[in-house]
Amino acid sequence: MSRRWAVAALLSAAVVAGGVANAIDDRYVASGWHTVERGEEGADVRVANFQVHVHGAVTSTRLEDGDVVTSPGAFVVVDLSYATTDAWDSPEEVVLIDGAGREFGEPSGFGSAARAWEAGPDIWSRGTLLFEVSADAVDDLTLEFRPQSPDARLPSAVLRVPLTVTAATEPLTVGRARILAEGER
Amino acid sequence: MTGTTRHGITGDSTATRRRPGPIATTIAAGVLVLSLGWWGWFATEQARAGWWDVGQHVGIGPDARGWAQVDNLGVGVRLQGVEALAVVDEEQPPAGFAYLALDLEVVADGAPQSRSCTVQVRDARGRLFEAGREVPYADPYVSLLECGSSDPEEPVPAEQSMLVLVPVDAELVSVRVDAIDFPPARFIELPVP
Amino acid sequence: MTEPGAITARTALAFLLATWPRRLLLSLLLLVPVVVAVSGGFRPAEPPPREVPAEAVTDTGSYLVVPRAYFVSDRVDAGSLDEGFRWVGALVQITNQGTVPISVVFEDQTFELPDEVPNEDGPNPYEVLRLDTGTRLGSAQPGVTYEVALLWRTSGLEDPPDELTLTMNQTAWTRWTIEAGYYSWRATADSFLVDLPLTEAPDSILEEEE
Repeated sequence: MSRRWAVAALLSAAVVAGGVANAIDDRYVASGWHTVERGEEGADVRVANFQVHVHGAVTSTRLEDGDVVTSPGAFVVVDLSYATTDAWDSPEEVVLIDGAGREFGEPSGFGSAARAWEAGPDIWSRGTLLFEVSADAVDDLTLEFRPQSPDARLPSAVLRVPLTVTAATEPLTVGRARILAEGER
Repeated sequence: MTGTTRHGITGDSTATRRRPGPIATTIAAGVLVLSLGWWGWFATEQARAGWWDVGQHVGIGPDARGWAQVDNLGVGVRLQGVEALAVVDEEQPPAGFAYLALDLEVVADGAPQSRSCTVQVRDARGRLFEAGREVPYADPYVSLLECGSSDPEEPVPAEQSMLVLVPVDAELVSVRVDAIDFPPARFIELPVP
Repeated sequence: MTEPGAITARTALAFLLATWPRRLLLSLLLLVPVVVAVSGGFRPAEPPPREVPAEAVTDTGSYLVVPRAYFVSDRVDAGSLDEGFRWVGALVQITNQGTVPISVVFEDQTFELPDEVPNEDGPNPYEVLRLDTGTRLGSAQPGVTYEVALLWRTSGLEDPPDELTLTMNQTAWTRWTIEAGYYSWRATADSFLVDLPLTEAPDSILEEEE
């Protein structure tokens, strides 16, 4: 009698283990085992080999890019500084994520000043990152800083910082990143 | 298949089946672990080879005269001098930083092959500062080290100087020189005097 | 299984396997999957494409599309776009309905040029330009509505017809079976056809007048 229960218990344990393995495979291993560091604006946050300090973000439908460009959605410019801990490096991807879970990446055609730059070990530089997002996403945006793109074979870490986005009155501008003095952010 | 498995009958000294003893179990477990380990080593071979080859793992140091040679490529580098500068061509580094001037002697007398080397300065904390990054454009400093030329008529400059942005309080340990076609895992490491 | 059921099953099996001819026939059943595979396998029957009008919204899955018009030009210019080619362009409005950016050139199977148009590259667009900036679109961000020109290089169309029929495939957000957890927009068997009227190429993507 007890043997049947043991067999039944082991069988269901096997099924459950299979299901759990499937779920883990689906959610983590396939998209990369990644830990999510959570940070906030105005503070130094460490993720993988990067140290990040997000200042804030501004939004407008207009961007000054030679001429003034009007977006069909909204432009968002993020003001942030970062450094590495070990050698000169740049993050592989930096994206914005809205409340509905939609992801907005680097838009094309707006020049290199709008993209992520290389920073040095304890050598902080401050610059701007440009995004173009859906107009209804602007109220609830989180920055996701990815030192490495998610890879199924390697564990990685990403940083999430919720953004306070202020509406700008003038068209937005982007500028080249500049090295900061020791201790500046 | 029908039939009943035979369990050991408690208390019966003529039990027909005995469970393996603790020694046999341990040996079996050991064999299992070893074979899993061997399989794991085998399965990760490509990943490990990639990591090893691309990284900097085996430093080529200087000989008695200060030259570090990558023999099969005919490339040799010698560190002539290191000097921290507070200003270069009227440009100052950000507060808390200095421009390090590296004077290097380079020889490339192997097969003609155009080659630029990356130059990094390593400090006591293990940080690697890359030469040519965020430094002024000023003569005579170059931003990439020429360590190979495809034109035998125009050999690489024998003396080349580079600037490195470093924190003022960094304790410098060595200068690393590396190129894509250096042998796997190898790089030149010249101690800073 | 009940006793009578078991007995019936055994009897049936015994009947089927009683003689060699019957055993041979039964084993031929095992060959059916092999034969089907060798002859190319089963394909889902493709339903006929649906005709949709220009200047109206069509939901293609990955996008909400408003097809507008088409043009042929050899003066299209956008930074490092190849020179010296004749371009056929489809002017459409697209809104990405998904949750991640879509690279219209590399990741998208929605838009196809008709087979009759001599095409250097392939059915999907070679490049996509935004009409507002005159630069490459790159990736279509979720929820943003772009007016774009889908471009193909052509060696034909010296005398462009009044209408060009663009194919728009229905795409579904599909899970990959090989790499678990990875999704992409894949073309399904459904598609739409839209007749695009001929028009002039928009100035914003043409090279400057000398």
